[in-house]
Amino acid sequence: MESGELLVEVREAVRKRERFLVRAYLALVALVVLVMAVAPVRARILSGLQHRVDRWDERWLDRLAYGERLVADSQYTAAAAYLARLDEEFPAQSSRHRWDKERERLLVALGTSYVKLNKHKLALATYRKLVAFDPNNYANHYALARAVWTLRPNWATPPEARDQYIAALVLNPIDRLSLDGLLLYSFEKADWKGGTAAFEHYLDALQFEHLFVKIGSDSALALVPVDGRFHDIDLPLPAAAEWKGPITFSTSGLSCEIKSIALVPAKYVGMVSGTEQQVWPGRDAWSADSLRARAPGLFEALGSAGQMHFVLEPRDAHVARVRLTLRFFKPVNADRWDVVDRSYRNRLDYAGLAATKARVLLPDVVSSQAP
Amino acid sequence: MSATDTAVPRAALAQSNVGMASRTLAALARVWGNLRLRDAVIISFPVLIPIVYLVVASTLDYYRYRQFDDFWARPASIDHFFQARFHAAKHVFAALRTEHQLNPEAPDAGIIRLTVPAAAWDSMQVKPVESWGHWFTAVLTRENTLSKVQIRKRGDNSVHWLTPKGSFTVKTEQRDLFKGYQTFGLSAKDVLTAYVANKMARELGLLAANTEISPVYVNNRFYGLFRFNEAIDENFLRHQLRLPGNLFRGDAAERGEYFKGTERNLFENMYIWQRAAKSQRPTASATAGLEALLTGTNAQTLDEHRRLMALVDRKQSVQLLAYLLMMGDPWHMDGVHNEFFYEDPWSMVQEPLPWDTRLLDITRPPAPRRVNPFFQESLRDPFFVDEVLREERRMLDDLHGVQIGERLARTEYERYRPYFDFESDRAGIIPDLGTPEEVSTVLRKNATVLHQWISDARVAFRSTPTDGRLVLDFETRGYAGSDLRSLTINGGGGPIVLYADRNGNGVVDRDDAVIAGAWSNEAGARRFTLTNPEALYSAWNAKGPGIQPSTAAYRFLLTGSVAGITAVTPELLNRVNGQPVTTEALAPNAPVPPSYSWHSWDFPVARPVTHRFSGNVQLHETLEIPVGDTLLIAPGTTLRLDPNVSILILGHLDARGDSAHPIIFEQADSGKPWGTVALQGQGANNSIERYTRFYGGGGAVLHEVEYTGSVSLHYVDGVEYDHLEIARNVRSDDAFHAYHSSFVMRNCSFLNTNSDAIDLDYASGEISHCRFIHAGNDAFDLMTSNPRIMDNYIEGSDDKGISIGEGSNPFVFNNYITRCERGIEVKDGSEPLILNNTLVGNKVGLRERLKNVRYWHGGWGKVVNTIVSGNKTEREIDHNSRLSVWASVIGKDTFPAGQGDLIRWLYRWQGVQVDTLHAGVVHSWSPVTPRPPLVTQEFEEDLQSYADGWIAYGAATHLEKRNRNLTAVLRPWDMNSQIEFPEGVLAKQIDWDLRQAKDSSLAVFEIAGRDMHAGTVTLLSEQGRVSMPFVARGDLSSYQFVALTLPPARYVGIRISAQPNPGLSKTQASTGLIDNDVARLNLHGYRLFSSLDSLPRARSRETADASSPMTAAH
Repeated sequence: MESGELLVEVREAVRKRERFLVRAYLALVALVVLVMAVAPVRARILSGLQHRVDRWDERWLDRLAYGERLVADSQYTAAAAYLARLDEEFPAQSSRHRWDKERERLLVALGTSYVKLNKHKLALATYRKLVAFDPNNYANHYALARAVWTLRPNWATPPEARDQYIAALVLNPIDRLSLDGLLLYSFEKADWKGGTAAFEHYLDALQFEHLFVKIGSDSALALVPVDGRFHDIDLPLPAAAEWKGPITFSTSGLSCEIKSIALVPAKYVGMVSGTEQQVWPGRDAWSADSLRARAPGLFEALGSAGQMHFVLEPRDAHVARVRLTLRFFKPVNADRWDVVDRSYRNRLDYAGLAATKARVLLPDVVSSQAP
Repeated sequence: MSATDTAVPRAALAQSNVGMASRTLAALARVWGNLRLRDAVIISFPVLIPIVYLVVASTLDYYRYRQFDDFWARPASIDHFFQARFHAAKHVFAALRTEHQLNPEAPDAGIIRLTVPAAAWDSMQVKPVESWGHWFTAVLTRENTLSKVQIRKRGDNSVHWLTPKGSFTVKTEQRDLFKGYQTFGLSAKDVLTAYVANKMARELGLLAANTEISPVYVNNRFYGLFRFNEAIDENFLRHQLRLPGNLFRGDAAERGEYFKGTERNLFENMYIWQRAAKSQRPTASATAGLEALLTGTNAQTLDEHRRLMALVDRKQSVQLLAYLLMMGDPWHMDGVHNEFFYEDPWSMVQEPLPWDTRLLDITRPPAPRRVNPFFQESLRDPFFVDEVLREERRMLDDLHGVQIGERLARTEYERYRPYFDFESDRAGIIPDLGTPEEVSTVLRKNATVLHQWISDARVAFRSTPTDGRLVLDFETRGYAGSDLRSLTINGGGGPIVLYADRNGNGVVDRDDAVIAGAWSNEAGARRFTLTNPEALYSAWNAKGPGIQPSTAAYRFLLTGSVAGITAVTPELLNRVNGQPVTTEALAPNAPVPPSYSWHSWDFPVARPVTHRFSGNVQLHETLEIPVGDTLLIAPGTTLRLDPNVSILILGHLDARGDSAHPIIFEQADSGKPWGTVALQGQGANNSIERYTRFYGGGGAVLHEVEYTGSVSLHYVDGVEYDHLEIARNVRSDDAFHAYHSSFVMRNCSFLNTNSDAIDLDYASGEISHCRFIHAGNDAFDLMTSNPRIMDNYIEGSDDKGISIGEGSNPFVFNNYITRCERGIEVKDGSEPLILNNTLVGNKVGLRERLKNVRYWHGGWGKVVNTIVSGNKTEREIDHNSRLSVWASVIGKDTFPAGQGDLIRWLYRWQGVQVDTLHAGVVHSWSPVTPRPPLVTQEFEEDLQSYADGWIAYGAATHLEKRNRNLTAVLRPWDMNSQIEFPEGVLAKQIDWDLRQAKDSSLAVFEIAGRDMHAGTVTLLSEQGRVSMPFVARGDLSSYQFVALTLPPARYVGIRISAQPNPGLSKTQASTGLIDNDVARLNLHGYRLFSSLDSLPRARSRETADASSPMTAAH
């Protein structure tokens, strides 16, 4: 059938049913108006539309996941081509976009692909793009530094790696990966002073970590500087009179040393107050989770959920406050300490080495070798 | 007409209606019968198209919001946008009508007019997540001038950018500020409510950025009503009379700089703070103050807490929290953004600044309902809590604060009513603006709640006999604390002693203090009235949610003959409002809950000590005299200070030597300087130094504070120096330095100083009869200071004799300045009165210039009866500066004296009386009571008023405040009406009731004109008029005083007329076009001085007098 004939037939069919179609059309229009006028119905319909918009918008995530799968499956050539195209189209062109983290994932995956394909210039350009995308993300600087360091020619020590490690540490001075990178860089460059300065900067960096204290059903929280120095803590902590069991300290996964713990009894209306009870030192009944005792009161973190329990006799009086003196250590691993230690020695700065050692809990293997 | 008469027509009418209806129905039926599908579709378009448009536009709106995931974007829904657009569509015609009334040329100081290239504007507007941080060039129009500015997107969340009204920041050129601002934000969010909330910070006396409401026109079209925000930066500090110092900004979230992977809490992460301004001192530390602030905020012991409270500006912190509570928003400075702390470099005290305060119902705090960690820690301090409530009461006294807020809202709403109407028509698609009613409702509700807090001084009490004594336990439970005034004791007898059981252990020991009081008998009971009421402070728990009252336990002990006592009844008064407090019963033997707050009795109590020095003393280490203590130095004492050793006095210094027994501070090691002798803080007020000599000081840095003078004053008032001698200081910038201080210095000597002899920053006082010989830099270096510099001899300064800079307005009288690099230099917005000085033999006599562009203007000296002569160069004045001269000699130019009354008034205004009136140093004069002007009018550009009530007519057009003047353009030829005006007039209504004056008063106007040949100043009174003609010299940098003697009358108007030069408008022969040039008249200000009758008159005058008005020259 020719199209002209078809058109005629359609027209004829419409003409024959025109009254019905007019009625149906007008009914449809009325229904649309009604739906838009009745708020709950409209909201329901628009909500459905909204859901579809959301789904449609999330197609970018599916595409990113596909690209990352290609990288995970070592299909680097396909991944690089696919991710490069996706990068051009990806909506997050600014770190203020809701999918800024996804864009960073995309660039990291793309950079990884280029590295694996030995396309060094493209890889570095991608990581630099990552830094430019969000220069406030220290991890981006670290990623660029690592890429520069990994792709360096002939054991060179490219200054860009150092600069990016430093940029990462400016944003997050307790980032251990960047610190490791900088220490290694300084060591290879024979910049002993730079290495020791970087480590001292790490130790001095202002960092607070939570110390949870728990007696019975009551708990309190203190923010303690992590600087390898002792700090006094005075925490209000009301505990039940019939309380039994240990006093527990959770250390946020950090190594620590406790100098003293005392419980201050509550006052009672009209009664003479009790005296402060010393818990530590002086009691042997203690236990620890994810912590290893290296010496009395000195605990090395073995995981992220370190806890110490000091068993106490049940008391009649309420506990009003807990007073303790402790210090948190910044984490140091054996390899890093080895570099730091040798840097100090190469500078013949034994006083500096001693001062630094006093503020860190050395890894066991290193401390046993230390003079 | 009867009922029967009317029945027939009614029936006919009904029949007619029925007929019409049936005809209509028939017609409709015909239409329906002929209706085809195509017609139905066309007919439905007016209904369907708007619906489709609304759905599509709303969906696109939603999609735009989906690009953000912030607080404002997350709850977005298509339905919300549908409703908003529907509302806007309904009001579109009303909006168009209103828009018609909006005039970009309206003479309103608040209007901001921008011209932005279309491409740049589209780039900012259309793509919400692009062009961040990118500055676009635009033009800011201000009457006749165009200024190049930069604009960029502002704010980091969707509310600022996803509506047709986006927030943005404007930055001017450094030398072309907009009304004193270089950078300002225009915020679209909560315009009226946020304006009131933030403006009130300043109204209530806080250090806070300015805010206004501004209609913004872009490319000549109204863009929206915005909240104008002053940026917090170095300019802000200088405006607020703060020396540039570290200004820590914790505003990462607001600026969209989200530091991924690091702690977001600003008070736990020092590394996400930035510095909005930096201390310029070479010894300044970058972040030591911030580190101390964060460490103190996370205090775990009372000592750490006290260090925090010593570190912050307590008054500002108290005021800030009281203000935030009144606004119902102690939450938005939340530890994640909106945190600003100014670190004063001369005290290292941190001042918290309010930023982006909202107006909220305090009973409905938004999540997470927690104040920031800084306030949490501050509110652990019972004294701080007490001060906050007292400040709150002061702010709410007679609803004073509420009325300020209501006035602000009403005034701005009425001022911009058409704009508000227009914006309300597009409500929903732009951020909400708020209304005066909303403002009033919220403020009043908050005031009611806070009054309840103030009245809430609950105290529980129990008296318990224990081991021969009575234990009196109190527990404060409300928001407000109480004062224990007295105890009424029933039963018993014999002597009793009341102790404050400060360690709370229930027994009397050496920590406990006996409480003094008096016994009396009342109605069969004994009453012990405390000599000083004991404060029982309240405790607040601000750990959240919200701010709740907590408890604080206080224990007293009654010892002695307590047997037989049957009852003890305390009398307590609310500490804040003085109302009686009713006690509740404490349960016997109940445990006292530990308080999160620190206890007021745990704070150490200072006991004043007097430290004495006499004879020969050597100091090996820095001595610090605490607040409350006194350092007494005997006449004849010699203090030898080891290298770098200083004396820092926070208490009182009394060092009174005499001419025979001076007190000497000198080096212990002659080759090395000692540090400084510094008075710091209000505890050192009214210290005295007489016949003291300082040799070989070198300045110091103590507790991170730099003391640039070998003698330094920081924040001290009323210090007296007499016969001070400073010589041979080394290393330090200044021999004597004062910052935010006031002092009197007489008969002093500064000899061979290393650099500046006297350096004053934001200081005032009097320096008279002093000698300055061979200063290594300036003899005087002034920054924003207004001292009286009188009768001094200045010789041989390596730079300036007197350097008057950065907004200083000193009175410089009767000084002899010679052989300096420059005699007097006036710069950077300074306006000194230079009276009876002699500047002779200098390389440059008088210099005026703009040095620091942040001050926008050059110098403006008022030189009267002064000789500038015999200098290598007599004067150097740049084009940013102005000069008013009278009765003076500058080089070969002699300036006439003008009217004698004005001269006399200038002297009397400043409180000096001279025997003879002549130029140069006078040999004798005497002080008289200064006579300040009754009325002063000066012109400062702002966004509130265009011309401060002045109007212009005739040839005068384009009246505006500009460059510290009221500037009028005189355009003799009006192009529109084709009329030539020979005269332009500036006029203002006044109400000066001088009818009670016994003698004539004097009004003095400071005027300059260009391209005008004559003018007249006229004061109109009910009885007639007083006029004074003046002749303009044609130079806008040369001002003249026009003085009018006013007989007693009631004056109602000022009229300043000016005749432009003829020929300004002329027809070009070649083209036939009119070349319409303009003249200009600048009024710098005027002053009205009271009756002349009580004035002593100058006895004679040696220089020539003139009857014409004083003229001035550049």
